[in-house]
Amino acid sequence: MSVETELPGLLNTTPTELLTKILAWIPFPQICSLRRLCHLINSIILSTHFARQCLYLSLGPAVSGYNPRLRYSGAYSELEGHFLRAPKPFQEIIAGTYWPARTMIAWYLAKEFTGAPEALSALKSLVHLEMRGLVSGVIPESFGNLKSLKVLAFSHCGLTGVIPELTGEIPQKSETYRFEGLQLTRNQFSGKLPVELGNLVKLKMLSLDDNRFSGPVPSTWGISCN
Amino acid sequence: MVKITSSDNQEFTISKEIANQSVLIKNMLEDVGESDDQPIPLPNVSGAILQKVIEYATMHKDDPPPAPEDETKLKTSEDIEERDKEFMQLDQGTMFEIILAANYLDMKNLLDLGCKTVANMIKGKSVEEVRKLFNIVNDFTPEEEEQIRKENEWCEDR
Repeated sequence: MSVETELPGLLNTTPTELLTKILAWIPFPQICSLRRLCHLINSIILSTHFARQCLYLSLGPAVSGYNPRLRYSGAYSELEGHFLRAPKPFQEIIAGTYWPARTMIAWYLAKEFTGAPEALSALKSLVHLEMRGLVSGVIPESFGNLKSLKVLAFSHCGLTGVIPELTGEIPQKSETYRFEGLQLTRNQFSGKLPVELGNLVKLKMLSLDDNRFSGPVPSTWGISCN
Repeated sequence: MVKITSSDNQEFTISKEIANQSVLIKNMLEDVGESDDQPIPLPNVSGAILQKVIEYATMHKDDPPPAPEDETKLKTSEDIEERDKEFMQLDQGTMFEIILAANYLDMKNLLDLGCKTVANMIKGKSVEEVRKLFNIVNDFTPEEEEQIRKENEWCEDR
């Protein structure tokens, strides 16, 4: 067996580049527990560069145009359960690299998470985004970038702030009209009811009750007839 | 044959196929040309470590060229040849010096082997055990550590 010698701060005197290479072999999510070792290692683990290397070794390369959820691998199915708790750089790589083809998210959460992770705004193929049971937080403005989204459901969440401009600055009218469902029942959203919701002519489901909106129902809403 | 000298001026004579496993030496040989029989200085590697590195390169000199990577196969740090495992049964100091040397000499296989070996020593251990093993000084304030501990509740329970 190897003999462990008492050399002071051995891991600390190794160049960061090599520490990155060593630590990347520790699979996600165990690697996250090592954040507590020291400042240096914490900052390495929290870098995007590291998250990419570590997830590559833990999960293999992302297969483009292929829904990784269908792939038979324990690591992939666990990914979903770990996503909300993972540090932001890991969320960004998981969403951006491993879920680009993902079309649906429906998470029913046990009232322990706050806020919808901004990293999800990288999911350009996402059609249905549903999260129930978030404790608080806001809908990130970047969710306006979810160009394929047709259903947004954050009911029973205790979210605050205003509804972001989901119809955004999208030039083509056909895209502006793509929303089919908006369920925001039982939150703490405030402000006026968004005028642009009247443009969503494909809307089949709209529930905004039990919030803190103020002001009148915009007259444009009458145009939306579905 | 190729001559190399270590930081402490030890000279080693090795065959070209062994020398070429280091991309650094390979490039140097190409630059200086065949005729030059001046020893190549390696100021970043001590004689003792160079000896181990040569031992590794000699063990692997007849390896077939690496197969094209199977993208569907997951790489893990457990995937180490038995003879390499035996080779890495070293004290921690030597192990880290070999990793540094492999990085400097640009020997990908040896660098991977070193990194995987250290990773395997860390895997499955608690933060306290890893700190002790590598003499890592906890430089967090109690508040900072408590904050990370809270953020890590999901992954620290093993």
